[in-house]
Amino acid sequence: MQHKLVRVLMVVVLLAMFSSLAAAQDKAVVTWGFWGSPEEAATHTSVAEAFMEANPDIEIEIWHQPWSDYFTSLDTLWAAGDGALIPDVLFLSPPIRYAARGVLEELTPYIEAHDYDISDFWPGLLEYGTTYDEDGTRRIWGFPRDIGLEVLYYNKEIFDEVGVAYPTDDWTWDDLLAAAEQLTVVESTGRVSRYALGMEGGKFALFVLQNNGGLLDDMRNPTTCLLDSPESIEAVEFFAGMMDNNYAMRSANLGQAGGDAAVFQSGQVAMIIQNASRVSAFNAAGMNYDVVPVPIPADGQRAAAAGGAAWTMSALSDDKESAWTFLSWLQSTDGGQGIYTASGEILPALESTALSEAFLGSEENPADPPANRMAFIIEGRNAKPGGRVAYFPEWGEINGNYVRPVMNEIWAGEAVPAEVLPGVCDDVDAYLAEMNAG
Amino acid sequence: MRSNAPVSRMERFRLRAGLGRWNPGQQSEAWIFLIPGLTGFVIFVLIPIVMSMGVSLTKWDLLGPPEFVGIANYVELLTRDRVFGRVLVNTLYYTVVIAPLQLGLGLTLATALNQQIRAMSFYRLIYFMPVVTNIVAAALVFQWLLNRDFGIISSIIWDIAERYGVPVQPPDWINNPIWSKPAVVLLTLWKNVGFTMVIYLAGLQGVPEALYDAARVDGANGWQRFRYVTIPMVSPITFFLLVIQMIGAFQLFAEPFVLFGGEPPQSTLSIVYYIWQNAFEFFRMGKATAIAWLLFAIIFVVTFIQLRLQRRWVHYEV
Amino acid sequence: MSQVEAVELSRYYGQVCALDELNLRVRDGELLVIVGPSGCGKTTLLRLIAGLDSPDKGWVQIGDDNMNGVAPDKRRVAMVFQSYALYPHMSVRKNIAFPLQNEGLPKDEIKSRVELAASQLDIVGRLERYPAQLSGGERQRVALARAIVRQPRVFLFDEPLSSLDAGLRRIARAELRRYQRRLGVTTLLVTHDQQDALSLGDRIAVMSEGRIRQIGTSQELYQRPADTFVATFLGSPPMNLIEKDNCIIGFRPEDFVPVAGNSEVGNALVIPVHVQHVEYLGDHRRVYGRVSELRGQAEVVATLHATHKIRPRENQTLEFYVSFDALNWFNRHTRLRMQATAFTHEGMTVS
Repeated sequence: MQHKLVRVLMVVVLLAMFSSLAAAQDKAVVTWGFWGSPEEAATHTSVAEAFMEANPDIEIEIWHQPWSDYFTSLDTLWAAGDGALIPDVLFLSPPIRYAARGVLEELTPYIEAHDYDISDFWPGLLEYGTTYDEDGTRRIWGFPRDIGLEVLYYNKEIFDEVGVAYPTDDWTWDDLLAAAEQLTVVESTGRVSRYALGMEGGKFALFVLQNNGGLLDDMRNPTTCLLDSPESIEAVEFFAGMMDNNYAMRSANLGQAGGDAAVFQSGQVAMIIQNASRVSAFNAAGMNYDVVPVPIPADGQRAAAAGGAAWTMSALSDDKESAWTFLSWLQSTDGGQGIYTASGEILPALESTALSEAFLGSEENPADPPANRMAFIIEGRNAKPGGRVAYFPEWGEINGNYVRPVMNEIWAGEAVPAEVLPGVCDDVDAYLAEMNAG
Repeated sequence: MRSNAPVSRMERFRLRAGLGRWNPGQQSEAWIFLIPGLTGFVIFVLIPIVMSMGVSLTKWDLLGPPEFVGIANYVELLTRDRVFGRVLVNTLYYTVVIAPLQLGLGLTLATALNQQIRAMSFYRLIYFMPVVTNIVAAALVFQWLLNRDFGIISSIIWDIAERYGVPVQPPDWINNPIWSKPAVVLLTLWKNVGFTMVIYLAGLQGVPEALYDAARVDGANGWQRFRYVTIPMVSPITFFLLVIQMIGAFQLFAEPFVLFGGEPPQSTLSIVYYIWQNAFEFFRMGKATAIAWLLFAIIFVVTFIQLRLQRRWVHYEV
Repeated sequence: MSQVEAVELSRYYGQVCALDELNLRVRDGELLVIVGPSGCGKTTLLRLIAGLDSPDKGWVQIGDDNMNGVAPDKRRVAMVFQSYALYPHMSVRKNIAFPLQNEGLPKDEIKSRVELAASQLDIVGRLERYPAQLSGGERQRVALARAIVRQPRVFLFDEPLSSLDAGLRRIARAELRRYQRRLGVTTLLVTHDQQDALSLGDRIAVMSEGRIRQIGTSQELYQRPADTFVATFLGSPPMNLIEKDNCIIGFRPEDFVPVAGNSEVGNALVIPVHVQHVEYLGDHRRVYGRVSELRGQAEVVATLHATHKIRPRENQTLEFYVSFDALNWFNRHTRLRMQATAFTHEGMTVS
């Protein structure tokens, strides 16, 4: 009796396997890997469905992992080296680190063959997925999906309460300081019950580059550390000084308190400097806020970083043409870009998408807050390659071992920028010398 | 009939145990019984250990082929890598501070809780609960307690300062390196002291009551009974815990990581964190395994010294 | 003067009464053994005297001093525990020195007193050893040395011999007796073993249910037990007890002898016994039987010397006799001893 049951079950299972194989045979299958929260995964799924509707002969299979497991799982798949298991189209950051490891398919030939328009990317953004051979040959490995542009978010209610004029698109550091002094609330005991600004210490390079300083002389083939230049030191001192004066929350406290979005929502800080990723959360919380471009020094420049996680193609993909079809569709205003942008989750990588209704809204269909969405476009147009974005794999180690720890000491108020930054550069220069020698 | 031929000790043991004479033909059966255990050991323990020794002599990013570099990783760590020096000092600090505190506090608690009073198991439960609490949850609670601006304990200090006009401020334990390591120590102690307490409790219950009676008749006061009876009588347990806790402290990893919300200050980083960082943040598997081997060497030497020193203070006779 | 006195001493553990208004006096310099079944309260009594526990009622007096509220080490009492409670992590020297160290005596005085105590107990050669390296008897002597080094007024022994096997026990018993005599300290020893009690004590106190049943020399207790409990507790096999009218007659198995042939037995109680079982034990035989002619049926035991000319066999009915001198009379209700003189000569015979 039991044996019969088992046999019947086996037949059913086998039939099911064959039928799925049969169904798969007449369609190209592209496996698509990404990380993200359940909400983000839902958007990804709707993107896949839209694509399959437009391209009925390609089926998208989703490979989804939480961010914490994503890269480890991929490393395992690559180490196993079975192309059938590795997703064909992959979300990766930073793409060139993986390109250097030889696991990615170069996109340049496809771009040329299909006349894909790469001029629509924000200036410099594509550099994030590009490498150069020694003879200068340009190789593109990934298409950034979005651009990590910071803007200044401000809580209108706090500004109204204190009676400070709202920030404007042409605010300078001095304006920021002047407002910060009024917005900060320090009690008689020394306890700070409200900080003017919340900004992650890790974003300090934004200030450095705005002030015409830099991290390294070249973010692709570095030889020298620039953090000890007067401009860099001045910018770091500006940020550290805001923390020392209680205008800005110390970076570690910010992380401890749940991050900039949390303290901005709870009113513990009046302003934050952050990218577009926080918009949906603030809208969901019903906050009364707006954004402006990040204030710059009087004689400084905008220094938006041109970088963002990118769509890439696996070198081991077994159907690269289908993969390209999907990848290029993802990276088009009418395709993936438009859907992601309309969902409010990203600041699109393509300027045309940012200028489309999907981002700016229209008369009949106005966009969600923030009202001043042009702030993002101002930053995007001024985005630059290099600067804060490194295009060589050793940056992770340099930053992790020599830069970040010292910067953290500065943000903790335990080190003086002018005293410690030269030491940082000594360490980095020594590392670079060894790296370039070896 | 058994022959009267002389038999070896092993043979005699086997005969007495009813195992019969050693039969070389039985070896295969023995191996069959050993296979399940050995397979797991070889695949998941022995091979990785041997391989990691090999990996530590290479430069390897997990994906490409490993490149043999000899002892370069070790040379780098021991001569040039100042970060390694720092995390080593941090780890030694943890070991030297945490292990003795853990033991002292555990024994004190165990002594206090080794009594016949009502609701005793409830108190024991309270102290043991953190041991089985998830470290991430525990660290989150600590963050909420100690955050300088908005933490509960800090708030109480701020309120006192405000109400009574006392110029006190809560310690800035996350930004100030003088406080950051103690914060990790505090979390670790709170988290783990229940374990030492429970082991000590078991040990204390094995100390004959008559020894305490004898000591009382001999005129020993409470402290002297603790010093001359309790401490030496639980010394084997103290030794066991010391070894375990020291190894544990050397392997400290999660505590600073979660306590400081994923970006711990370098003043709190441990060796194991540095291993993890090199392996999975910098993709330097060779260097990471080299650190792991150095850590192994350190733990081995320290444990060996402890085993040697135990003769001086551990009493096994009862 | 270091006699020890317990006056109306009571101790309760919850509902359980461990000591029930107990009165006891240990004379200066004597060795008094307290014997009783386990749970009779004898260890509690010892702990109260040592000060390890305090009474709910009554008091302990050592010499002229009421000891209530006096800490153990201030009583000048030394206690030797069942397991000797030697500190396993200390050498013999340190064990003996421990009480002196706690008193804070100077080092050279400690040294000389330790060595004196060691020489009194013949363990000088063992001073640097650890307890685990000693024989059972040596451990007992170390425990004794640790006890005498403080020059106590009273020794208290809690089952000192029970952890030894039979052979060692006999030797240790003799040693204990010898050293106690030599030191001459008032000693109270608690045991559940009647052999220990009978052979060690100057006097013996039999305890049961928190009270002293009888106190006296071994011989008094054995031959003239104060009640049926003492009668059956001491002696192995215990005293035979037979009910008759309002009395209980008690006699020792060794006093119960078959009547030989037709010989006349004068001044004796003659009882027919139905033999049920005979044990041969080398130097003697043990005869188990039933006495049916008396009220109800009673089990009796007789111990015959192996050379006795009569050898009872199973299922045989034989006449046994006890001389009147060997008879004990107890009240059937109170189970207390009655004065034999209260009975007529006729009343003692069984008709």
